[in-house]
Amino acid sequence: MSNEAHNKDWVSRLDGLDHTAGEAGLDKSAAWDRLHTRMQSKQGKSKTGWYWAAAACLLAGCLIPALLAYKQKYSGVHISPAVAYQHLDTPATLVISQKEAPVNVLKEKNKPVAAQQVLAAIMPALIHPINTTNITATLKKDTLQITDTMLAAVPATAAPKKIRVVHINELGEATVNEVVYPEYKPFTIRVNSPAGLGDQTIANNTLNIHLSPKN
Amino acid sequence: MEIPVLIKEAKQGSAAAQKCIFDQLAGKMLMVCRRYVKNQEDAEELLLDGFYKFFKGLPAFNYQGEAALYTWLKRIMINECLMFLRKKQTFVIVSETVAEAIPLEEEALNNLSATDIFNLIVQLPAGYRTVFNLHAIEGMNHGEIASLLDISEGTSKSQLSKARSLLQKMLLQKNITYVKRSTQ
Repeated sequence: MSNEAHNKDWVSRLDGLDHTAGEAGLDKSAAWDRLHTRMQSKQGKSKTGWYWAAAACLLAGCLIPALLAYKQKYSGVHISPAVAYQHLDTPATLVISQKEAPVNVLKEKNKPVAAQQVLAAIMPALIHPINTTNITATLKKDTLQITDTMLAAVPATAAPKKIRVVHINELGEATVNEVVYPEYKPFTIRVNSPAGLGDQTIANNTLNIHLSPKN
Repeated sequence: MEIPVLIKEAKQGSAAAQKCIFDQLAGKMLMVCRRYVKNQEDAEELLLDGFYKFFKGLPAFNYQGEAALYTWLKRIMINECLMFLRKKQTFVIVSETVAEAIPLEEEALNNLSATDIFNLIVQLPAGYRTVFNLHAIEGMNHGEIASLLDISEGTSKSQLSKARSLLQKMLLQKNITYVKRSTQ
């Protein structure tokens, strides 16, 4: 409010004016009835609003579990087994005993230890009949839990190559270990060694090796 | 029943107490509304809206005397009227230049009855009337009026000046005489 002097007589008389002369005043009882009705109706509206809100919450509480159950029931029909398997909440658990590791394990240094162990455990089972001594279903202290699915693990495994190792010790100075693929016969292996080893021709896969140094 | 007791009971939701308060204050509040809104029916609607808000906010009201209660209720009514006028966009903002200076000798109003003053005020255009009510009767300054009506202070001053000039013309037309205040 301003600081101006405000003690004007006409203002106080105007403020105290209840009705103007010559005009019908306010019908207070009728006005009160209208006001009271309005107050009651607005209170009722507010209560009705709460009822509606409560009903909506109740409906939502009933519908959501039903919808979830319906979805869970019919979700298997449309999703392929592989996808469904990958979407399982609890991953497939394969327990491998580290102490009973298989003998013919491929050691690849570049792969993580866990993966190596997994591959070592799974590969024999895939290639040969399942060896139950290597894979046990008991939980032990030093066991490893595989969280990968089988679908992910299988492509990663490579079949072991059948290798043959040829030892050439006749020359006494150099030992040559060569990988020989029997399906490629005959062929020539050129070896550059300090001893001057020349070409070696392998006639067939009967391991009849003919060595003929040039010099 | 006295006002403090009525207020206490009305706070507790007593319809009888609320009716007593309404009966005591409705007439004056209607005149307040009519000073801002010329139409009687509109003023009555605003009166009911204002009383509804008054009773709704009464439980949170801390009674500190009859004058404070009256001031609060009056402010509610004025706010209702201003909201109504804003919705109707009845504010006529002519220009911000100060109108022709025909100063209103407000002491002339002291010689008039309250009804005559009321009738003069309600004849003013809505914009003039609103600013005159807020400044001359409610005692607001132009900054407060400007923020309340969302206009500039210059516009408020201009509207007030024009309102005073128009009132002065009305007084002269009615040949209302007044005693000039003696200046030293």
